[in-house]
Amino acid sequence: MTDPNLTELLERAGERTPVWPPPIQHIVAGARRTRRRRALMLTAATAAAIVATVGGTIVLSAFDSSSPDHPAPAASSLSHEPGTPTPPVTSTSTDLEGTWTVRALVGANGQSVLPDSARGKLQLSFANGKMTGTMGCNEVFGT
Amino acid sequence: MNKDDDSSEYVVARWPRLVRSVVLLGRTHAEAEDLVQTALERCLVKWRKVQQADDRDAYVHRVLINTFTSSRRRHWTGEHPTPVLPDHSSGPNQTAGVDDADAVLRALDQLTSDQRTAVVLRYYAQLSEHQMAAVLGVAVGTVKSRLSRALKNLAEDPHLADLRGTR
Repeated sequence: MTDPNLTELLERAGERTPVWPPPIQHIVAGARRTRRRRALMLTAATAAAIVATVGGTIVLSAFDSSSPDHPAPAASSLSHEPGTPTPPVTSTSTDLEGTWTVRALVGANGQSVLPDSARGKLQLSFANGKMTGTMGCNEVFGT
Repeated sequence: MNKDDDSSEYVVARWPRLVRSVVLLGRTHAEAEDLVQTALERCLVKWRKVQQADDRDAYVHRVLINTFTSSRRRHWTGEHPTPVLPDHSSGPNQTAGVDDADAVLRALDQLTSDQRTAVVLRYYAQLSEHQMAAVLGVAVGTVKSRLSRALKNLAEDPHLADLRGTR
């Protein structure tokens, strides 16, 4: 069997399969959905990592008895939900307790790194040294 | 030309050939369309990567083959539930050896999956041996040996015996 011979046979076998136009709308929509889901998951993971870092810093600073005047670190801009205990303004070991809605995350340049599309969608709860969060169908957690 | 136009043009141009490639790999028409749609969605998610690839067709075929392999691993494809029993099987007719296309598909059925993939990529998708090596993630020598064994098997295949003499 020669190469052109096989190519011709495969072409004819393939031609027997009728093919309709591609569902471009579905393909593009599916790709957009996947991109959006990945962006949200990345945002949630980033937010969780930043909050965990900030929370850890606050907890460690609360135990630092050698420097009582230690300034509070730059923290994320969080709004507290009504009906839950209002945390004190100064940093203590319990000032993250409760449920928070993330409005912004302060980056290295002082600007928020949280995309506008994710603003107010991420909820974080701190209780007993554990952190859980939800963002749509995605969940984050940490200690 | 923006990204959507470029990707849409590519999908329209390649869709028939990709679907028929998967049919030649042994899937039904409907399964082939689903597989190609999934593969193209994956490509569109990272379309910039596809555009920047040295060989766009090789990249897309690599995604397609990976999707095909994953689906084969995930699902048992030997039986298809149907509300009505067909008079004959939905695959190629095993008794009537009159149709060239059926003969080709039956001959391809006798190959191993690696050999069949190699034959379809080389002689239907028209990829070079180097492109195939990139698509399959194997050495060029492996591609050559798979093709060589596949051609040997096809040359001895009784389903293609009638066709060999007439071409």
